[in-house]
Amino acid sequence: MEITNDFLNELDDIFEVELGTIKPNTTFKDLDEWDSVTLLSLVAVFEEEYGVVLSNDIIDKSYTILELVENSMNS
Amino acid sequence: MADLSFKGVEIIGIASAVPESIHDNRELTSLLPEDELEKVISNIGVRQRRIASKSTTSVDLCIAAAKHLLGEMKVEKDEINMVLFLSQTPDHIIPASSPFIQNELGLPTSTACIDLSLACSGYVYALSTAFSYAQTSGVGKVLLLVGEVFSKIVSREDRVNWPLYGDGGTATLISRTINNDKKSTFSLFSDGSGFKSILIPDGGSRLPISKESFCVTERENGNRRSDTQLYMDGLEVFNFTLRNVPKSVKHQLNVRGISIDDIDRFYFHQANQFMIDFFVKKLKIDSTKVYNSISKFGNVSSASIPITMSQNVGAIEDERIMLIGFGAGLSWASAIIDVGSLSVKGCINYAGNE
Repeated sequence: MEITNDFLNELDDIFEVELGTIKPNTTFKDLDEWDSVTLLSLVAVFEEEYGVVLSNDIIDKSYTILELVENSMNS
Repeated sequence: MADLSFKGVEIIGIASAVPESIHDNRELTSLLPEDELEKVISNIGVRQRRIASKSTTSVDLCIAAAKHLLGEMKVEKDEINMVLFLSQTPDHIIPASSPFIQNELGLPTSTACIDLSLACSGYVYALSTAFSYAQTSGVGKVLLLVGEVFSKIVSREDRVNWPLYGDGGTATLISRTINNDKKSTFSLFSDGSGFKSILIPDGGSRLPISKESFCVTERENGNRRSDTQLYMDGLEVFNFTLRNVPKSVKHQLNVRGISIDDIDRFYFHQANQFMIDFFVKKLKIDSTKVYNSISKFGNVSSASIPITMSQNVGAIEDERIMLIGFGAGLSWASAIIDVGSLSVKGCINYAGNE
């Protein structure tokens, strides 16, 4: 599954970091802006981009953006 | 799926009543640090909420709304054949509240009364029930009362739920009409596999109340509450709505064979601003057609759609409106209502009898 630059830029926006900061291997839970509000935004863009829903299970076992994508595809 | 269709029945009047006590969410600094609080307020979109006093109930607020509505519309008491009351915070477990309401409103004993129970999908469901009765011979006008006082079942130490919910009561008058060209359609859905997503565990007959039920303990994300208070798994609920709400809106449009642009007004359940914005964007709705009340009143569960509809005193004439409810159960519903002439009698302040 391809992770486009546009999608990563949307994530930059959500986490309120400079464009180009977030990469597929970024450990998103370490970012300052990681909280319940960011989580809902993340769920919404994943639904938009890939048509998948991020459950509690997927969030719990994923550390990087790539893992989020892979785990949501395999669920 | 249940698809219902009606002709010759209309919503003819609506009003609401909210407690006069205004709570400003910016004052919740003991619950959340100031910067986080600001972010939460902007995300959920709730600036203020109305909170009922200790002695005010959902029934009191609904009665106030009903008296205001019936008085303003000059409806004779014997015109009402039926009272439906929907709430998850009724006055008592026994008896049902609707007979008490019949008596308080001075309606004749020939009035049929039923209580209904559903959460945030409740208004759309109850409206379909009211339409069904109103279309039946022997019933002309149905008074539908929907109200909640979630402030009494939400922990004040719950960072998710306390800033979100407000209290309010509403009254809607549904009538059979001679005008047969107005159509209304409803689609009603349920998925009980998600019953734990929004839950008060104790106090029913599954888990009867015990001394332990009242123990306030620390739960997820530092929230503190007891098992007699409301729990919500925000992520699960959000996922459920993402999966189902846009689909149910499209389904209703297909049922009617119309497009999203053919709807004049949208009334979403006021879950939170973030969610409403998401639906508006996803469904490509003209945002000027979306009516909200969340910033002033918060999420009033089943009452949030009729509270939003009751704003802006005046009339809605010959418009097509869409109602979208979703929440605990899990349960969701959409309706497209062709309005002939709907009297909007506003939202009044309820001072109570203190």
